[in-house]
Amino acid sequence: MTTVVELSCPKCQHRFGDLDWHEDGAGSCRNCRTDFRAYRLPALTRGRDIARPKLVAVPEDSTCFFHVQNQAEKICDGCGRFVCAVCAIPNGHEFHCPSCLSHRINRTDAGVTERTIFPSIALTLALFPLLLYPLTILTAPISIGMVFMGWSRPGSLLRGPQRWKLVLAGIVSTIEIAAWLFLLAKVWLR
Amino acid sequence: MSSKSGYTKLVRQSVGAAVYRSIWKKDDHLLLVSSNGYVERYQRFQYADIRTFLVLPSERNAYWAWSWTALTLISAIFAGSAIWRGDTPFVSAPFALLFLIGLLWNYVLGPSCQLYLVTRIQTLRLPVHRRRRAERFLEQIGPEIAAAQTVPEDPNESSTADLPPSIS
Repeated sequence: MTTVVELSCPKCQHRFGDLDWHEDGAGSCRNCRTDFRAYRLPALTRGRDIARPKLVAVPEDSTCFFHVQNQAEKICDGCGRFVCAVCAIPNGHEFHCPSCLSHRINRTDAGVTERTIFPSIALTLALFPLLLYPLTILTAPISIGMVFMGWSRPGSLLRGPQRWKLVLAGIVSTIEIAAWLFLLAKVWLR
Repeated sequence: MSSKSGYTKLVRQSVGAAVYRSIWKKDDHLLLVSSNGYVERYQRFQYADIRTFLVLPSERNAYWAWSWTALTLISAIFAGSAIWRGDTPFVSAPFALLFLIGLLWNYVLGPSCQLYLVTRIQTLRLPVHRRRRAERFLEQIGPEIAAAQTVPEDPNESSTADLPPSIS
């Protein structure tokens, strides 16, 4: 039996108690009777680290840049500001203040939550409407637009910018537009 | 398989007609990607934050087995009746064979399960539906996460394993 109490059944949200565990790492929810097996990791039994700031005791104390009522406990490795325990955010071997960390997240891919994949959109707009070719009069210019929009965008976080798709979409769309212009010119001159 | 940005693919599973989810790993976190081919959404789980993985049994295997069996039987009945009439079952026999392959494939994949990732603030279902694959996934990633969460015996000793992610 384990002493794990902070886990809930994913199906019924019943919080597992000691009686739910049959053996170390496996058990059955007493509420919905679902068997479960847990791959336990050290973080499961570790307590929560809560940063608690210290209030300024004497006026000569250094104070946090962001909270003047708190004692400075760390120096930001990014900007050198004095920060309290709440504002000193561990970042690898260093500590950073919230604003430095925010700047770093915005500069890198670490904070990316969503990306639009313009190469796939452009290629789809260039190729799929060929099945119903009259549609290409509309989709080819849009595809060209997507090529220009996607060229300077970072693209997929995993597959990179995929410029070959943009090049292919651009070539196909240009051919489609040229074909339409040729056709319209031919009809016009008849 | 590694990506250009240094991620290694662990799992890729379609969850709908045009939607797939995949799990990738990097030095200090797992990345869950949900994609429809045109928009990708990313969720990161730092190794230090993952508390456990829960594996629950599911009925997926049984549902697929019943579906494939029913389709195989229906196709076989049509093929049998065609043969009985003296015709060649050009359509029903290939379909029966196809559904039989599906049934066998479902059997080969083994029992099904639901895999959940548990952090302190959320419990998230991962795109792993078969127990054997879940076990392989946990064997692959579990020791790495456990190592990243192990506190060094000497508190003065600096360890990169337990450090939070570095954003440079």
